Amino acid sequence: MSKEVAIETINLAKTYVDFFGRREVKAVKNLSLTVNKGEICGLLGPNGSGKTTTMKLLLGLIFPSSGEARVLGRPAHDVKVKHRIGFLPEESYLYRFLNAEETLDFYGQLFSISGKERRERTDNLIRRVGLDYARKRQVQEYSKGMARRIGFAQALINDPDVLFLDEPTSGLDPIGSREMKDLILSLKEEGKTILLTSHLLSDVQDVCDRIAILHLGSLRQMGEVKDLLRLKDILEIRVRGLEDEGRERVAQLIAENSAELLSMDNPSETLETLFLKTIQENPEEEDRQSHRAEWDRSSSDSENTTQENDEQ
Amino acid sequence: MTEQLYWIIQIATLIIFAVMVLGSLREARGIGAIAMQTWREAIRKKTLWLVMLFAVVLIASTTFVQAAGADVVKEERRLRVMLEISFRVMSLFTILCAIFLTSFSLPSDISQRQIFTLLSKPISRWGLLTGKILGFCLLSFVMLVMMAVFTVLTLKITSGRAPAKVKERLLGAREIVRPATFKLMAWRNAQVMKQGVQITMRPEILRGSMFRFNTGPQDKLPGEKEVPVRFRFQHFRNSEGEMRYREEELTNAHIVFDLIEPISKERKRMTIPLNPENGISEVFKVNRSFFTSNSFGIEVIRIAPETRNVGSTRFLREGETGQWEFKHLKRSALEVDGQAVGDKHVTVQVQFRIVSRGGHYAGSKKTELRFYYDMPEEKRKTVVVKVRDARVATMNIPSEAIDKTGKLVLKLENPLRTAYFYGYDNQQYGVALLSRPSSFEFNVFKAVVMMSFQVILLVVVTVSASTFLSWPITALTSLFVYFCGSIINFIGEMIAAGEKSGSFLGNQAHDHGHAAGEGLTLFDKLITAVLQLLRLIMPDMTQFSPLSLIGQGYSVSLSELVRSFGYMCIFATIALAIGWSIFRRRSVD
Repeated sequence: MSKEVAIETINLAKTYVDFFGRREVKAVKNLSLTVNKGEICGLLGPNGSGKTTTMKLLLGLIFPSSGEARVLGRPAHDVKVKHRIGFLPEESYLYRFLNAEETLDFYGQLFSISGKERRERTDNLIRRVGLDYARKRQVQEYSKGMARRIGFAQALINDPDVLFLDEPTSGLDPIGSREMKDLILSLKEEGKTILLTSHLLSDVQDVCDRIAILHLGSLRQMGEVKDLLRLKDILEIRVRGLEDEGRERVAQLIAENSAELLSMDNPSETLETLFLKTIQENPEEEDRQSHRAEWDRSSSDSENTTQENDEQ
Repeated sequence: MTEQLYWIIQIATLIIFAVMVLGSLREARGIGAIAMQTWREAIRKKTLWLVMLFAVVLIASTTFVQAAGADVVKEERRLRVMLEISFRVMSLFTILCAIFLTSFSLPSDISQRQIFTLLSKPISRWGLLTGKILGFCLLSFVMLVMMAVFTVLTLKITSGRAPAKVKERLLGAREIVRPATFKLMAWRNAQVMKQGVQITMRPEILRGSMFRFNTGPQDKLPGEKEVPVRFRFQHFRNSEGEMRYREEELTNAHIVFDLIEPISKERKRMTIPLNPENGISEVFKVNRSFFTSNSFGIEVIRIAPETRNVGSTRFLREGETGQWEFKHLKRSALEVDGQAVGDKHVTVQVQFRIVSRGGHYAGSKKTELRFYYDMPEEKRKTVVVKVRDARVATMNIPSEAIDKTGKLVLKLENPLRTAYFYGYDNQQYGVALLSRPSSFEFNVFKAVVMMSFQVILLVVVTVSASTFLSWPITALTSLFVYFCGSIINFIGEMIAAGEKSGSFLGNQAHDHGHAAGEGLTLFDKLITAVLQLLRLIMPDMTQFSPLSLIGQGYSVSLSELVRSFGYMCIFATIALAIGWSIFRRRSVD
């Protein structure tokens, strides 16, 4: 099965130079990467590994020192490409004095979407990202999570084929993070290609088909998540209802086969699962939406205060 | 040469400008969205409203202006001051606002990373720049219009009591018909009539002559209270060696004039005898207070033995020559003292000057003036004069047209139908022909359009600079450009001073009669060339000031608007080209 390529970099390199042309940082080195249509690909790496730089190169925000970045078969800086892509930046860099509706309307105008269509899409997206209760509030009053969601909405305003998500879950609480991941998976079902960066490994593991690990600007690993993570020489058996006696016999059997028993223990839940379970068992579940709103409001207030302090 | 070069540049930039505008139409919607966004961002800032409030308060406070003098003069002065202050406030506040808001816009988009989201949308970088420019232009224009409306209202309300004459003069918006500065001796006898200007020529004038009136402080010694000023009067023969004052006429002739102290307007009357031999050369001591840096006011009261008022002029720069020319008014036939002399025709030659502003070329314009005169037996004859800048126009008039007292009356034809010739004004340009008064509000609107050209230029410069500079540096750059006009004036003065003293290095003061530029060394010529070049490449913001027109009650003419638009295009295109060439490949992070 030959797959269509959505995103491609060929020997891409970016070297930052200072004013006098002296070389300063090699942010990306010789990166060759392909993402097929309909795939979710995760770019992984520690801070400063060149994830965001790669993304900026693919968006035509910066220009490569050598090599090529192509999106949907066209050079990355081509304006025509921009009609079919969406981008969620690392932090939601939006105009602070616009409210949610105005923000989406403004970005919709840039796509020359007609007025009626714009209003419909704006409405749908605001509901889809769960900001219905705050649609008339200025973005500067939003908490980080809310800003993240309006940022995601603006990336979807043109119903893009390819999505670039820079740290989509950063700054989100576990619920928000889960919702975001669900949203990403539902977008995949709509057939969209997604390239996301993250250093939250569990998130990547949850949603990505393929991952690429970057370190110090070069590609270290690339492949299907399942393949990469499978420990081929280890077998995990999960059993329910085995008594202590049975355990001993299993251990004995392993020893007889001259294999080494690494662990035999009760598995623990991930913290995420536990957290989500706890929240969902909450009796006030019915008005979760309003509860969320409450929560957002209080957290945005506290965040605003800290932000102001920072500015001072 | 410079004129042709100017036109080539002008046309080329207009073409480029048109191409840029047409090219931007492709993404008109995106550009429109950016422009509206810019507008929305600006009007949600409190700074703008604070500035507007302050400007409105300043304009309103002009109603408290008081002026001294007799009633009519007082009202006129008062209104003029109000008008001037209001327009200066409008222009200054809009420009400062535009510069600061604009210089902050793109750098803040880049530093706060909104540009990431923007550029990942289908808007080209060109579209982003032009959208920003459009938004701020719109904003400044609306600001100007709002302040203009307020100014007009304030003026209308306060001028309610003013005499009709004053209102017509100041708020009449009459157009100067250019070229129409008569450098004709005869204008001394110009009479304002309801229908136009009547020019009367008398035989003693027909005899023809001209003289030159050179002024200027020769040496200004520091620390001395009085400055020696040397006045020279020369009179010239024409090319045929005729037509000069007869010597006996000049023997007892003298000229009376007032020196005007620039601030207090105090006058000092001087009388200088005319010397027929070598003109006059007199040195006076004049109190230093009569001089601003390089200019002083002078008003000629009369030239004896002819004792008519000869109007006034103002010498702007040191060494500049003010002239009253009675150009080649050649008499080939004239009756003098009842005796017929010679031929059948009188030739009247008139020289017109096209007034240029700000030292820059103002364009040439051709216009026709139709004069008529009465022949005996009540026959009326018309003579058409094609007027071009600095050309001498010639009218041949049969000698019968001169009446028995030796007077020739030439009148301008049909002043009302041609819409120009409505009154005269000798305040600024000597005799200028003016059109009928038109709507003051419309004139203010035209002035606003003219000022908005200046703001557009500054917005373009600021946006272009902000593509590669941080906002404080951008704001400073734009302020520098804004003050370029003053720098150009200063350079002009430097060049004049250098040419006059003969060197930029030494202080060898040559004799004033020394031809300019003759004794310059190579080094001096080089400096002059560099200064001239600087003067050419710097945008002169005084080109966009409608105040010299509207402040005098003149109309802002369409040709002025077109000229200032063209001038704006030149520098805007250059600035945008620089900004764009940098921004299109700039990495934003």
